[in-house]
Amino acid sequence: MFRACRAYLYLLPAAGILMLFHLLPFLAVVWISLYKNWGTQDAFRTGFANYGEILKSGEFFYSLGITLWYAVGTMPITIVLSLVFAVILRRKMRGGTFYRVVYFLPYITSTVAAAAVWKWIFHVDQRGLANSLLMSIGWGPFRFTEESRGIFELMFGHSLPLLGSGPSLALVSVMIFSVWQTFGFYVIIFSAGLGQITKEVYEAAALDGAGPCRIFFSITVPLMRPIVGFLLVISSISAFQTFNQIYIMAPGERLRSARNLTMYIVTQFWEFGRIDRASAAAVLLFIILAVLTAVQLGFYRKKD
Amino acid sequence: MKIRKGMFNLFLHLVLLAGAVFCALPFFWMISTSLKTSPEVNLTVPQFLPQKAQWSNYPQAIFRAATIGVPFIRCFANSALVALAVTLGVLLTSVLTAYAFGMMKFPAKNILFLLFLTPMMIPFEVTLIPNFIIIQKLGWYDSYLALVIPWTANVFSIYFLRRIFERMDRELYDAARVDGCGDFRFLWSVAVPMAKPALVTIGLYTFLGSWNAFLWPLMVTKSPQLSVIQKGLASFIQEAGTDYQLLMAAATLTILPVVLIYLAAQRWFQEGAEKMF
Repeated sequence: MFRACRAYLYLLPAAGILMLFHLLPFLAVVWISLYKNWGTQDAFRTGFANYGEILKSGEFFYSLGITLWYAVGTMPITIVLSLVFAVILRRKMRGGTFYRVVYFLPYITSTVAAAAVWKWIFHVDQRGLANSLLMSIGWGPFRFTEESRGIFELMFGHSLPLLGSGPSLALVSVMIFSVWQTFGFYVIIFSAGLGQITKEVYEAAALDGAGPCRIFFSITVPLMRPIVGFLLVISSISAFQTFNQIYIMAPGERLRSARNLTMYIVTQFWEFGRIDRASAAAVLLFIILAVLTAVQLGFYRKKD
Repeated sequence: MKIRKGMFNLFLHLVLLAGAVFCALPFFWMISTSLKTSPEVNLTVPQFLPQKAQWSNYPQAIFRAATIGVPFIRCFANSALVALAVTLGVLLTSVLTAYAFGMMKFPAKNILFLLFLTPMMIPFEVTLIPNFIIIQKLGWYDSYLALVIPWTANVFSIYFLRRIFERMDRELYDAARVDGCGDFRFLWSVAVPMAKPALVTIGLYTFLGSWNAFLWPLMVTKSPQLSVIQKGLASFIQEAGTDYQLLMAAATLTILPVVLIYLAAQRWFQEGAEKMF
């Protein structure tokens, strides 16, 4: 009995903090979302009115659409690129360690500082590196992080309603940043996965006369499917959570064309003081992410 | 055949090199800009390297930050202090919790463990606003406590460490207990040293995460004296205007400690990332 008490004592510090700063605020956010004007004199319970308001105003769906554009624009390219690089690195190339170190560097770098650098690279006139390079081949200048028009509109000249013009160039700039920052992390994850495939599998395939392309598509890609699934889930979760790079790179667009769900919640609170609406949006965000996280935990379980 | 293979290898090297250029270019451009003069920064055709490295941009950036109310060195010290405190806190709470779940026997263990995992389902962005209100109610708004305490327990570290403690030699544990070695002593003199690689990884990632954190400090602190480095840099970005050489100097200083830690311990970082899946 005494030992059991001691075990509970060991759990106490973590339990206290997790309860106070994770579980309690979660219950609070659900609670607050059911009130109108929460925190003011004339607060009253409204049931799901805040949810109705958000869903009807269309702003929530607009943010959801932006989040989806962001996810669609960053995930496939990062996953394909990093898988190709991990496969090349598996060949025990000279300088492999050096490349791995360099690829991983953006991932550990502060998002605020790195986003400031990319903002400078994407500067609106020819002083910016990106514009000066593009202008040397006769393109641009582009307004990059300040451009609210969608990229399809910029390409084809037609504006389409309901985000049909594609993600704004401002959002695309943030997306390029995100690909840059997560690429190396994905390479390491894929390298670890590839390391688990035994040499015999490849040797047998080579003996059967399969070329490098065939081996890649018939052996490597299917075996990497669980890792691709895992990366798809964590990167779609982070598409919803992205904040720092939008805040720093596209301050002018963060209330408009670069306003993903987290930015929507934060701005409802900061700019409009609407704690009730922000909370309802946060609960909706939770529901979306809970589904994605459940999928992620499924991947962990499969691995165990 | 041999030539074809050589060509193929060369091609692969070029691909790897292109990737390295993509990853490293922003760092190069940041440092290069930080060493330029103001006219050089404003050239319509950017030069890759400055004529002469302007090291004075660095003290000037710190000075300039001070004039807009950002005590840069103080911010640096704040970040180091907060990150260290958070790291120590996470290591302490995770070791205790993971040890209890991994090694000890007590009633309701499995249910409690599931309860401990529930915060994994609750992302920080969802609870951001009520958390802010809790901090206010505790009277911690604009204090070091607000920056440190909420982050001193981490579910992933507990989960990760528990797996390691579970796989530890039970016979050693039983023998130690027969010899009269208590749980607490066994924990510190046997279990912790054995889990050292995992602890280093958790410690490094926690420190990194805390050093790079931005949204939370932005929410819960307002006075410049309590500003962490990311928040200080963000204010500098907003108010320094177009003096990009100073901005890039400040960004370089912000990134530098983490890059140095990373280069010294890169093996641990990469192994840690591998263990995430």
